Amino acid sequence: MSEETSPTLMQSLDPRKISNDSDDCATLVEIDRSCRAPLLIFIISGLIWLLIGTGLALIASIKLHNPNFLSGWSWLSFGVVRPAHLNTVIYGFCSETGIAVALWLMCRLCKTPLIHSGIIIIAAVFWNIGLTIGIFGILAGDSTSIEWLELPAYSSPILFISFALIGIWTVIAFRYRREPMLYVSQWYLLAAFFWFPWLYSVANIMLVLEPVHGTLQAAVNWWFAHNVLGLWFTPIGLAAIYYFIPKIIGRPIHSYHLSVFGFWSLALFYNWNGMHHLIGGPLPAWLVTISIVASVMMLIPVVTVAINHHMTMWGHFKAMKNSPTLRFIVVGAMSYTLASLQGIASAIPSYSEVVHFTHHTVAHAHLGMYAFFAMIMFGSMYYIIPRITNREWPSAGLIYIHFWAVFVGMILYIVPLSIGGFLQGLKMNNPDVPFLEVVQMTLPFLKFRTLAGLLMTVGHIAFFANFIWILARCLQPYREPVAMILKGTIGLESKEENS
Amino acid sequence: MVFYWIIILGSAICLSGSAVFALWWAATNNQLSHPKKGALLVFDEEEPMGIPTDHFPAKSTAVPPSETGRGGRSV
Repeated sequence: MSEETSPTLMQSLDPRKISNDSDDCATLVEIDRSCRAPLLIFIISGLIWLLIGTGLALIASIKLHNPNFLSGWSWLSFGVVRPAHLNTVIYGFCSETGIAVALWLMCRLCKTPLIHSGIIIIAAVFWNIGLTIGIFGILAGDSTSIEWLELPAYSSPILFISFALIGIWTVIAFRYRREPMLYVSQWYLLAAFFWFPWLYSVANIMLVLEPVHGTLQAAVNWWFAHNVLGLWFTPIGLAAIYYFIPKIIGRPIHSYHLSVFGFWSLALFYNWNGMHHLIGGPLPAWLVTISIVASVMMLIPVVTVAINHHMTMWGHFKAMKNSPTLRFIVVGAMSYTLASLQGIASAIPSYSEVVHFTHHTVAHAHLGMYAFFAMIMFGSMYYIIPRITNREWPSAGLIYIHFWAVFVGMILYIVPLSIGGFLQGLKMNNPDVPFLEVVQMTLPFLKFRTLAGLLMTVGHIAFFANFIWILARCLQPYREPVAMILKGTIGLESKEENS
Repeated sequence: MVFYWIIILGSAICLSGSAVFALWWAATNNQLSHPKKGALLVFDEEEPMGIPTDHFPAKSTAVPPSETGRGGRSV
């Protein structure tokens, strides 16, 4: 579908059926070119939020073993900095880059250019305005104190408007797809764009606008917080894995049936999981029990996905040596399996009794959000950005620094903190151990956490430098031959320059 | 309290209903009956199966066959 034949916004919103003519598929060059401006806005702002979030994380981490650090400023106290960090990385970096990757995947798989890019650009602007207001609100002391939903009530409606616009665009893109058959990644993406507005709006109504009372608040809170990971970030991450692994190694997914089965089992079991965070809490036993059962049932989609990814990669692991994208994606895919299995273990009451309220939970959250999702996003951006900017990555060295810094950093973060958290839980459950001794026991693990954070910061700076460099190259006239992967784009560029 | 029941039950019914509808749509539109075709959807004439599509910038001149396991390619 060329730009000349793109529908108007009114035509796109017309409910009458349109044909999905597969002969009119857009070329990859047309698709990538149409994605350039809207995706770059999301990616640039997402990476800026990543750097801000990393700085806030370092401050919070240092404060855990050195409480006097920056103690003169109330707006940088731990109780303020920690939610500010969480919300900048969740709604800033992860959501914005996730949306960018999801939009690109939708266009590629629908075989249509990104039509009505104005909708996406307005959505990006609204998203960043809402988030900026929200983060300043948290730093000013207006946090709602509801985990994963700390943004003040005056900022969340702006984010919701933005998301509604993206949802409308997704429906339009789906209607105008040129490939009638859906790939499994599209199932995940469509579900994510459908599930998140539901989660976000219901949680905001029941916790912020018209708050429920008593222990029901905790129930709604964990229903939301757990499902944001499982029904928003996980589908986008898995959609990217299912697209990039076959694409990069040039081999179809091992079992398509298994991939579709994995999607439907995730849809069936995941949204019951949140109450396992409240094991031992003052909630009806049946509510927690259902959640524990559903958490264990998550073995089905997790093992399904793990087998499928591993068998697809089987015999091709050496390709990771040549592909920056594949390195990040495979590490992310393996982390998904580990994070899910750890989450299932944490839902078992005897294990939960030990690790609940410890640093083990923090390690688990970072295994899911960083080692899985952030790594998938990094890998996806290494693939997408050269195609939409029509430039190769300027420095392979910076890519190596990025990968090894964040890879070693996340291991140094997750392994010691998981062990430290487990030991902390054992001591906390022992009434003969004084609480101060428990706190002092965790100090070495918390220092490892800061060291790991510093390594991750190095990686993020390396990635940002490479990204700025590639953007700077876009301002220069196109002159160097890039790899064959961009051959179609080269032709288009040459035509533009000649004209 | 009625307000909360409307939200909880309403959204639960809408979500369950939409999931059932999506599954019905997929079954009646042959989305679940051609697994081989579905698995090949990531490939096309421009980026066909068997061709690796990503590498480090410094290594963009050649991808040895042994590294890809797919016969490699020169670029």
